[in-house]
Amino acid sequence: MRRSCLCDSHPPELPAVEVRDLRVDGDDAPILSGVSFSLAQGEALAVVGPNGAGKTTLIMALAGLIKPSSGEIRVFGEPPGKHLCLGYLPQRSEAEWNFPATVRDVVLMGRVGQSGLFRRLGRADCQKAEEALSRVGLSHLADRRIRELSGGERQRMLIARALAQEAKILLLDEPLAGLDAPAQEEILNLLRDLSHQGLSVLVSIHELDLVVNYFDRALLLRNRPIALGKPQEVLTPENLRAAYGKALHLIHTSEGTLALGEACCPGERRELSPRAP
Amino acid sequence: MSFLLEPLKYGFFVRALIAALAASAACATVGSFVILRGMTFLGDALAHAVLPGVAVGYVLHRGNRSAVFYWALGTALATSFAIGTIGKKGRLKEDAAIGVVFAGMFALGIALISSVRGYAVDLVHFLFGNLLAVSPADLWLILGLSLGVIALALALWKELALVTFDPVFARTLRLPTEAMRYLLLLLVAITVVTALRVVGVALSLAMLVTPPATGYLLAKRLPGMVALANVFGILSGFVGLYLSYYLGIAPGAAVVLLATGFFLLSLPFRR
Repeated sequence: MRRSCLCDSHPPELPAVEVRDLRVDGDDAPILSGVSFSLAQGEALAVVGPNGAGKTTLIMALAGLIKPSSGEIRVFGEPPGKHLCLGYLPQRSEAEWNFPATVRDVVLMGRVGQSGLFRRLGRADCQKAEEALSRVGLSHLADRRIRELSGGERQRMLIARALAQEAKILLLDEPLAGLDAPAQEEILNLLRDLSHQGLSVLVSIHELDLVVNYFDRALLLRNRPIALGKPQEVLTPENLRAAYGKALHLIHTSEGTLALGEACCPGERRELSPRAP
Repeated sequence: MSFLLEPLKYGFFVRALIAALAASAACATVGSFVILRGMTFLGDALAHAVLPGVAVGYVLHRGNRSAVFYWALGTALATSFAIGTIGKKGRLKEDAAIGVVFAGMFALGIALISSVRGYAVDLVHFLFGNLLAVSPADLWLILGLSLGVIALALALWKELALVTFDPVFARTLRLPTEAMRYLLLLLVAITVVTALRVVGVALSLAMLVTPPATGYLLAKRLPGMVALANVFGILSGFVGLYLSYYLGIAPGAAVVLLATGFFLLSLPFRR
């Protein structure tokens, strides 16, 4: 049962994730089709697009939780589901937040995969957990009960758990949802630091205005890829209109073009992306 | 001192005491995972669903209580796996599936028992337990099952904790989450049947749920919760039996009333 993560031995030019012509069929229409991209080691990629565009489906397929209908996914050259070095933070965590555990307990759970069945976690595991806590800046809350955490602290704890797991790829499905602006920036700063330390980061995100500053590349989706590249090149009015359709309203002001979109919930509008003229 | 020692002169009391303590410990340990996973209803359902097994065992092996016990265990295992499979495959919500199976099985049990002459007295035994009639053979069975359940829960502690806390994360770690789910069902089925022997169908849920609920209120972390659940469960079993001896009340009821009392007393101290 003991499985080790051999990610450290990967040659640096090997892409962390490679997706070729991915297709995932829904009940009537494909949720995703024709998706191809690669994620380099140490790269931060934002996945953007309206609700129902297939962002969550893409991330779950990468995490090995759903099977693609066709196409190919390679994680460090192997099929997904074989790797422990892939940390996944779902959109709505199904974790039981009233569970009696401290932050340290939860981060230690990241070690369970490396350890075997029936084995106890040892000192080395505890050390990995403490390191992970300090990397996300939560060492001072290690003994806090998890139900007392704020939304941002909770996300950072789950990122620490992925680090304790020795994940080399982080998949985060809308980690900013429900957070206030300072907490959002804290998470994004943390993710950027981690990617500079060599982790590959793939994040689905609705806050288009934050994509430019924090990500190397962006993938704009609407069930199929609309654009892929540097954020400034991807988030153009034409591309956004192609992705968001009627949900997008472009307003030309003296300071530039303002894109308003119904990104989240029907009836709730939020600012998507201010752009220079 | 003689107050404590006097009942121990009687073999039936000693056996009842050991059986109650073993079942209490198993219930407290497994019950902690049950309440954290929100499986309380399943525990109750299993306790009721064993009734047809008990009835068939009773009819086939008249008077042989150990045989009835095995029939109960077999029915509990079969029911828990049926519920587990329905919950996974069906479109029906799991609690509705449990409700259907549970009520149907209970009705079948009553139908079977009522077809046997003199059922009323025996039905009372099944519903409320007959702790004071634990035979030496019963005792070994209860001890073996309880210790086995506790040992398995301790051996797979971190996996059970992880699957209970965050099942999706457990899947991404490639843990055998489906097997763990069935394992927990198996543990619950065995535990419920041992509790059945002590407090009967109607009250076995209390042994499974009340001490862990008390532990949950008082503890900060899972190990503390399970430890406290064991303390309160075992204390309830111990004191409950003496109360039953001296006050002449049904032992199952005494045990459950004490556990409930501890729960109420702990409410102001919750953290």
